[in-house]
Amino acid sequence: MNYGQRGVDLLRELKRSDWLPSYNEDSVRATIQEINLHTAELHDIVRANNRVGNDTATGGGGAPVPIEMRPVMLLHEVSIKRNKRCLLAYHAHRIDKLRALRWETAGNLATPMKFVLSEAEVDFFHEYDKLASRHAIGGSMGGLDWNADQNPPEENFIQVRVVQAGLGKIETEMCGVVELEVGSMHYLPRSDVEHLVRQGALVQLGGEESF
Amino acid sequence: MPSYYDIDTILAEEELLVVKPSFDFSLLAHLDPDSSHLQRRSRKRPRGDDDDGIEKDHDDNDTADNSNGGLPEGTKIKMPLWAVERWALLGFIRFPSLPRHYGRKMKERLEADPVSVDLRSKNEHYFQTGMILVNLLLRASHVALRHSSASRRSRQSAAQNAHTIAMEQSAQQARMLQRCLLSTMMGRRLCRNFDWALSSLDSNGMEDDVSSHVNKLTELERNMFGRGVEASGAVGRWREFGCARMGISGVVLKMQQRNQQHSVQTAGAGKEEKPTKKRVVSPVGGEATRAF
Repeated sequence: MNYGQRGVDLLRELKRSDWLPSYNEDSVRATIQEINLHTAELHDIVRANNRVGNDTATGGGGAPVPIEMRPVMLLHEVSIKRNKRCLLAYHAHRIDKLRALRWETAGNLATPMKFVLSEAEVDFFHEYDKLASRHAIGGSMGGLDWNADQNPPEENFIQVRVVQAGLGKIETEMCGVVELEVGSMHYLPRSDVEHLVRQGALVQLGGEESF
Repeated sequence: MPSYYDIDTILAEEELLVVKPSFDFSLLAHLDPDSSHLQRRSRKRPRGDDDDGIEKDHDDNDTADNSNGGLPEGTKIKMPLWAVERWALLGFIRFPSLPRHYGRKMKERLEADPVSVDLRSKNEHYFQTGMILVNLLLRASHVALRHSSASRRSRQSAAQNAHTIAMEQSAQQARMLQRCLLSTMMGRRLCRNFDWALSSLDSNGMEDDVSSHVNKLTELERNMFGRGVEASGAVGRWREFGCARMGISGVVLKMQQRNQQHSVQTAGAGKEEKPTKKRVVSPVGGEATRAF
């Protein structure tokens, strides 16, 4: 008996991976096919039953389903619902993770992450990002950067060390243009570099570590 | 109630239950592995034309139900929890016995020593499955009792009476199971879980130390344990740096770890990493993942 097995396998895959597994389009399609199969069988049973009903009673509305046929129909129906639930849960879980990612990385989708997503999911992420930023700019809290200060700040300036290559130059309001070379240390306004720290390109240093 | 989208709940409903149909189920013979075995054996014997052979054989064996693919009344079949819910509520099936790890012996073991029982090997979602099972049994018995009280006014057959009594018993059993699950989860097991979560704060190499403990935990407890470790780590960080320190986002960290693993697997030297990365950027879709 392997009703609804494909859908559950998809969910097991999700559980096994640490962030998201790559989008398993084959399994999703197979699950949908299974749903179609169940629907077709259900239709066949109903049609056969109606035919029998029309033969015996010339009602036209079909006879009541005999009790021994009901379990089969229920099983098909439950399987359809189960597969549907698995598929919805699979996609909902992935979309939840993507939404969380938007707030964690301020709309930056790193390339390795793109590879585990389907095209539709990448689109979703960009659309969501657009919506979120439009809301942040035009909302009632106008001008407040929603991504800044996810931890309560203690100082305006922080000491950071660059750990990722290829960042180039950034322009800051108070310190002008700063070139971020690997290994160099900078004392920069917190708001300008917070997103880089969050992306793992810079590391914040404590008071004693900088010396 | 658990959410519709909750993955753990969906997985918890995969638990197999032994059920008995209360009447003949047509077209469902394939649910009983023994019947298909019988059919296959009967198909092998005649070796001539297929359909006639089967029919003849069934006439011989006097199992007329199997010829149209029916599941006879009283056959024991194993079905997942999600599939039998509707049947149970409509009174189409009976539960001759609960799974062994929800039975009386297991209950005694859990009462004797809840900490050392390896629940994960029985079922990864032991408590969630138990909760759903208890809920199902209670609802099924409630429906059955209501039906019987409605039919009592007219007349009640002996079979119905027996069914009602069986349902009352199963409801009682379910209530006992409920109490047992609650006391197991909330009792010493939870205390021990907290102890381990807090003590892993001191040692950095906690994975080695606690694996024997974590391996016995169900998914729910593992979740709690993970949160506990995370929280105690966060307290440590807060004591050291205060709250102003910004960390790397968790997702980025995980992806970095994954990248490192990949680069170790694909290319040994760190220098070779760059060209592979460049190659990855240009193509889109399936090829890219493979190249990575």
